[in-house]
Amino acid sequence: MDPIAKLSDLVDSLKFNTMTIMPTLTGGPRKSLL
Amino acid sequence: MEEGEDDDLSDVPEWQTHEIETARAIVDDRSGRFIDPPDKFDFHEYRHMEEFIDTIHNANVAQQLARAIRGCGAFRYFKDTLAQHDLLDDWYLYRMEAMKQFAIEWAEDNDVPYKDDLQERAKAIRKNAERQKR
Repeated sequence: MDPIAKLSDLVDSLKFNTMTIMPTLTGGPRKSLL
Repeated sequence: MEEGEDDDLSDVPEWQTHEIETARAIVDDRSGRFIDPPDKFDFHEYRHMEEFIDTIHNANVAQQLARAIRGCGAFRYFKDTLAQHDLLDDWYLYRMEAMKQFAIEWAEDNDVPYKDDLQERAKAIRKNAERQKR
């Protein structure tokens, strides 16, 4: 199963300057790096 | 990775190999598989502070908050004023909901699959608010 992004991580990215990277649905297998 | 650079991971502790492979996949990505998440500059917190003030029924408190967000140190004065009126947790809940909606829209616009794991966080804020009011 593909990992999926957590809304808590996305919300935190709005509070801080993070260096996380999100996967997209478009380019091959996905990885969540959060 | 530069040409000729050693890409052998045999010297790397096992717990780091997956992270290094992932980092390489990001650096080498030319297909748009990885994208930057939104940051605090995409989410206009100040606008949400104004909208939150519009939800305050007590005109005097709303006026104080509106004054607090004018000029220098707006965020600090806003929080101080909220704290004076026991409204900090209400603001945190309001902001979290606004950020959640923003995050969902962003994820959908960018085809990023997501799951909502914010219930616990909201529960913790509510619990804290109840404790403070006791």
